[in-house]
Amino acid sequence: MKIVLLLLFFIVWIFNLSSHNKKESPNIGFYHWTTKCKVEKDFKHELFVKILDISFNQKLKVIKTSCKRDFIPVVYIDNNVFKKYKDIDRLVLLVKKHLKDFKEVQFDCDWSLKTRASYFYFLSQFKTYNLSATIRLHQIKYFKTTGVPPVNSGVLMFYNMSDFLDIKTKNYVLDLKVAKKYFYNFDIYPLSLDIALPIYSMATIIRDGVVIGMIDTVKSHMIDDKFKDIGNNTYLSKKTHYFQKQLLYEGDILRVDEVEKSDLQKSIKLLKKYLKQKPKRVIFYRLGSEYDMKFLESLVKKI
Amino acid sequence: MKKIILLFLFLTLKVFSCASYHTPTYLNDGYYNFLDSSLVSVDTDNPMYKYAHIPPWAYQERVEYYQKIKKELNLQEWSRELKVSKKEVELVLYKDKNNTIKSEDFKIYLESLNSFSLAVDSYSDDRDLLVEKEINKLKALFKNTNSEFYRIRYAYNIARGYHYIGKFSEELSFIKEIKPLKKTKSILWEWIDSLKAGALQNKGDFVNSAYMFAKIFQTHKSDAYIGYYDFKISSDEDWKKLLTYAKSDEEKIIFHFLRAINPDNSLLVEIELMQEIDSTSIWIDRLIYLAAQKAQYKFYNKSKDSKIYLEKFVNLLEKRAEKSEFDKYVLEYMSLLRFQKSPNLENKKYLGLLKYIEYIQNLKTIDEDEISDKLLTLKKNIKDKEIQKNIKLLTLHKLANIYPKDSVKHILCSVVSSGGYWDYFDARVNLTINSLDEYNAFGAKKSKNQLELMMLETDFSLSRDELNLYYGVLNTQKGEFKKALAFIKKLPIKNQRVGDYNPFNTTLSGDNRDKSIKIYSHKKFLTTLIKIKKQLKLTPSSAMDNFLLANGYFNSSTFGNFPMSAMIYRPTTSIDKSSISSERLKLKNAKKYYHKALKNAKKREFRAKILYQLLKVSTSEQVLDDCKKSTYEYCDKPIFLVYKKGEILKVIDNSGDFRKYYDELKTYKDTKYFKNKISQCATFKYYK
Repeated sequence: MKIVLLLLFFIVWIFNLSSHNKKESPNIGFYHWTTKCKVEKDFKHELFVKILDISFNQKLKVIKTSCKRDFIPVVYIDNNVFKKYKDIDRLVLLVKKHLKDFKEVQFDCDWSLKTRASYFYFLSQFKTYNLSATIRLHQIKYFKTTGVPPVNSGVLMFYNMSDFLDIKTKNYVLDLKVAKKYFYNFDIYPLSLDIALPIYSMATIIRDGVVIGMIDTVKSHMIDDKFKDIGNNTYLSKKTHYFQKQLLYEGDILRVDEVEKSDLQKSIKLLKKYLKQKPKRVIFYRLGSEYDMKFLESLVKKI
Repeated sequence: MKKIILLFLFLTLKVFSCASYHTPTYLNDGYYNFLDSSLVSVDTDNPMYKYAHIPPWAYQERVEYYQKIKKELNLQEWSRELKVSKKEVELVLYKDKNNTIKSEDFKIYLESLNSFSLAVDSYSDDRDLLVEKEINKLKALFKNTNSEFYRIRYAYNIARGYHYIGKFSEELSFIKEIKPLKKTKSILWEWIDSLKAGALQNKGDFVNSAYMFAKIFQTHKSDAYIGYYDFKISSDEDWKKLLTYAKSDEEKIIFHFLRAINPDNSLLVEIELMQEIDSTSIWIDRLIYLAAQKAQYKFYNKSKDSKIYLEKFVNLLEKRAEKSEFDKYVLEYMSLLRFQKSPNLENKKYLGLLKYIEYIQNLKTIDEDEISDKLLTLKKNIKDKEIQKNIKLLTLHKLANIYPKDSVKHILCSVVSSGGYWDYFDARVNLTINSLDEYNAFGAKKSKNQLELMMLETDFSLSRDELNLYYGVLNTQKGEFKKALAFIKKLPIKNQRVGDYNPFNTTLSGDNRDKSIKIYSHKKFLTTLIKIKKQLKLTPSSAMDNFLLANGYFNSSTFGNFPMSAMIYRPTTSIDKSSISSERLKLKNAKKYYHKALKNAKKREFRAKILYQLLKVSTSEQVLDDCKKSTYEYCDKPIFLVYKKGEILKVIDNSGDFRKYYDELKTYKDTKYFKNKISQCATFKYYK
């Protein structure tokens, strides 16, 4: 009888343990960032669709995306909007018009000191929603200066931490050396944070010492003999030719910015060390990239 | 094809938004253009030859330009066919008015078009099926009509239908079928060709498609922009194959031209490649024209690669074997921009222009007569309106930076030279009593020099009411209430500023903005202030009058409840650094009269109330002190820094006066005012 009871206890304990772990493992989500909604029918993870891309150039420019499935809407607002567009209340109305069917919304804006008052005022008008905002690393390190947005939670964008236009950038997608410079104040940062990790790759094109553009979804194994490896993931175009549908001229430099699995593992290790609480969600940027789902699942479990 | 165009546009916009799209300082994404298009064979009305830097709105402008041509040519054909005016056809076909044209064929066509449009615009999941049904109906009409005119139109809509639903093979074979119809001339063949090129691209036949798009760009009257945008080659194999398709050097050169104008590609390298084919081609001149526009854009917007771009451009131009007059001009102009090389040209007219640019770039002090003389000479020599406009913009922009900031000439130069960037708001915010006086005098001045005439070429003007309002506001700001009233009195009630709260009242909230039943007009506010001041002359020790006057001063500040009485513009969440001194003056006056009130107030309840107001004044003064240290032209008001808990406490901690008043206020803890009101104040819960 004792053995049966012990066995029963053991089974219950194991069951509890597994359900407990399952409960604590963050949800996996993916960002959908293109203008045409393309998602496989059997896609089972949370989906964060950029439904509005708002910029300002003489007047507001709004690019909309709609998607016929369940998703959490993301609204991207270029920081220039808050610099130039004065009628924030009107902007609120415009955005709310697209959020009628949603209870949750995420805003993505790389606000600056000049725009934080306007942006935060804007965010404060969405209190009825379950509200989240993307947070860049520097906005945590310097949060006493940059401020904390009035939202329910933040999503730490753990990518694009370098300057895209700076030719000295080593890897625009993910650079852990750069990231480490920002690991301050996580213990006192007042918002609970989910995290967003990159799974995409790209190549930055440098011409005449200036970053002139990028080629999406480039990986280093695609580089052929028309390039000379000049070190640090950079390649010199030896002749004028097309590469991944992009015309490159002789002398152009391509820097391949990609994320290795080991980089993601190191990222998780770092984040685990500094985040004061376990994130509820890990969102991968972005759908349309090559990824190994099993690896991502195991990665998320490690948090 | 439409999708491709849209995708291009979206990608362009995306790139701009992702890559921290640089906003130029003064020209609103434009640049000073000193390129005389008459020296090159380009139609400057055609927006294809504008904006080499591809701003996001260029696409729209180009489409609209061609849509107009498209419409006009189509209407001409309809008008000839139906023997009615273009206007009549336009009303029905383009403005959705009821059809009054008596033609059975036209009625049938119109019905088919409406039905087709409904299917194409449908949001239904069955949209493709609906369109296909329409195609079948159109095919029947195509077959049964005896008119070649209508047959071509049905054919176009059939091809369009296939295109919309992505049936590109069917589209291409249908277009092949209707080839014999080509003997009947119509502008619609251009549109059908464009559909065909797009269908080929969608089928993956990039080379034939690119060849067609190049032809479309070169020859089409009504939709050349499609060739401009949809020419797409994406592999070396395709590029080489395309070059073998060329029937002449000019065709090869056009391929390079179309490749060059892709904003991701290099204009300068493509010019070099074109020179290897035929260095005398007109297309090279056109590309140099675009490259020079890009160079101006980079230079005047201080792009990072401006220097290297200009150097490479100068180098390329120097090497040009046979330099045209335009080449020589661009070479001297670019050398001036990059190397400050004094221009040297045989053509005296353009030499004069470049010399003037050199003069303006190096200007340190203003001699209005000298500049006016130079401008008059230029006006005589340079007739190009675009250049004339840019001479004005460049000159006034330079002068705006030299004239004193509070002068009306600075304001006018800024407004005119910004091309709309410095708007109504910017111009008015910068007004002072001095600039208003100058504005009046300037308007009244009978003989104005060339420069002054330029400054007045603006929509910016102040109406009599605006002048009175701003004089009134700025005098209120200075505490000159009688002077202010004299101006405000002249304003009709509807143009007066009105406060929603009683400006002589105080409340628990920092800005005294609690429910108010009294609404004060600016006039009433000033009249009351004058009355109180008059009364104070008779009874200077009246605690209540001193208190009311102090409230008036405080509430006219940015921290109070009627700031618009004494500020031209008041940002809600921030303080402009330029307003610090005038705000300090209001607080200084408020403090002065609160002190007088405190000195004479006997009742403890009242004294507590006055002390509470003094706390507000001292906090506000500290906010101004902190604001002065801001590295920006403005600073956020701590009250709006909701995300920075304790920010207001930091301000309080730094304010020595606050501590002094607070300690005194604590001695009034027994008063009702303290118990019922002040103790509810959230700040005091944190502040010990």
